Amino acid sequence: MENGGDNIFVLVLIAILGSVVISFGIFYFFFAYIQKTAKHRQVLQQKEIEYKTLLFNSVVASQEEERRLIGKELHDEVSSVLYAIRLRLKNNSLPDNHSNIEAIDQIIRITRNISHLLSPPEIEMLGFHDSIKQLVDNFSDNDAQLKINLVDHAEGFISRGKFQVSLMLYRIIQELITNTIKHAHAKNIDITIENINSSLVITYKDDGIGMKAESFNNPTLGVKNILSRLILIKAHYNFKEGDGFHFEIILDHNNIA
Amino acid sequence: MSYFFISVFVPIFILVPFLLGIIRFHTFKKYDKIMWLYIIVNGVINATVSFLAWRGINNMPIFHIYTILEFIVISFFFKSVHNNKLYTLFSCIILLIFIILSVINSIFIQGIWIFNTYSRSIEAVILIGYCIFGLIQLINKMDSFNNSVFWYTSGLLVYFSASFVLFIVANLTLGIDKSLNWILWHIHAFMVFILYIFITKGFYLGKRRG
Repeated sequence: MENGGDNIFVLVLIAILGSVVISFGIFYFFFAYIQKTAKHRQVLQQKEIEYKTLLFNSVVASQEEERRLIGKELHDEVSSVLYAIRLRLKNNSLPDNHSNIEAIDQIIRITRNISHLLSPPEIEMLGFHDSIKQLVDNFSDNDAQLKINLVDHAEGFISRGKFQVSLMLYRIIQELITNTIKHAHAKNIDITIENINSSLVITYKDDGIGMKAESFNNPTLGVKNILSRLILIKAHYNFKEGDGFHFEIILDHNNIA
Repeated sequence: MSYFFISVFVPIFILVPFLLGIIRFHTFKKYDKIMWLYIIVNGVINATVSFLAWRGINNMPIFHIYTILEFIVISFFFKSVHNNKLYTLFSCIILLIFIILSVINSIFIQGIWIFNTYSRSIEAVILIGYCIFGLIQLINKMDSFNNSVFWYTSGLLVYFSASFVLFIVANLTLGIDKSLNWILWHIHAFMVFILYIFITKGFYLGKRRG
């Protein structure tokens, strides 16, 4: 049947066949797209698992390292002093009281250092904000060459009872300062603690030799330790390459358990 | 011209998803069961249409009923998939409007003695929309190809988008050429066959998931 020169038979047939082709095309589009997203997600998941395994291994390794240090400290310092006292007592050499008291004081000092290393008591007593001040003071007292500026605009953001998150942040800042002292040859460290849109933002900067993004992506044990602690407290971080070391920790208020 | 494919092969092929549905029924979730109900509705309608045609009675009113039934069943299928209050409200409103308009069309506009091209093509447009929305929702889900919803939705999308033009021209082509009608309804039957295959694939996954 002709209509204005067009054959309706042909047009209808083309329209129907066209709709069939389009329908299969739409199906294929979804099929291929879902397949591609699934593959992409699988790769991402695999990477995430590998990364978490890496961080988990670092936790285990640093735990072992800590144990080794404590063991060494106990063996080299505490045991040797106790052994010396024992020898004196055994030989009944009755040494003067003064040297005995000195030896016992030394043991007390060492055990206090070890217990402090295991769990800094000030966190429980002072809470996060004040214990960080104390940590900074301790570092400044021990190293006259290094100037640490701490500015805390978010006092009270982490309340005193939040031990877990306080301890993690304390350890992270401790590790950052230790890294600066060990590797950066820096003269100044600036630590700023702020409350930005209900998030705790800790900015850590030093004026040392800095770190390349490449090195940060293949982290050392210390950096892995920092990252695994950040994951534990569900915090985010920003690392900026450039002059000095620039690191930012962002912790949402809702994630402070 | 032979009508074996339309009148024998495809109507009998519906037994494949139907029987598979019986075997896998214990593993079915709500949406699988609704899809199985859809197969039953199709089977019953097919049988009725064939019976009336065999007795020489005009079977067009059955298509009017079928359009409404099909829309209700598929709407409930998507409702059970999304299980979301806003979506339920939206699809119930659409369902209600569609039923009212279809009934008005069947009684006052096209009448029940011809093919209900208006209702059928509007139904196709709405269901194509539902299917695309359903597939978009599946994009970011895990293991979509092992999800029977993907296969049901894809089957419905392929069937309705391919048959959409056919529903529009169904009455227009009646007087043109018998061979054109033969080709069109064979294409339609082929799309129904594809739909049944997709549904069968979905039912088959019911076993693996269980």
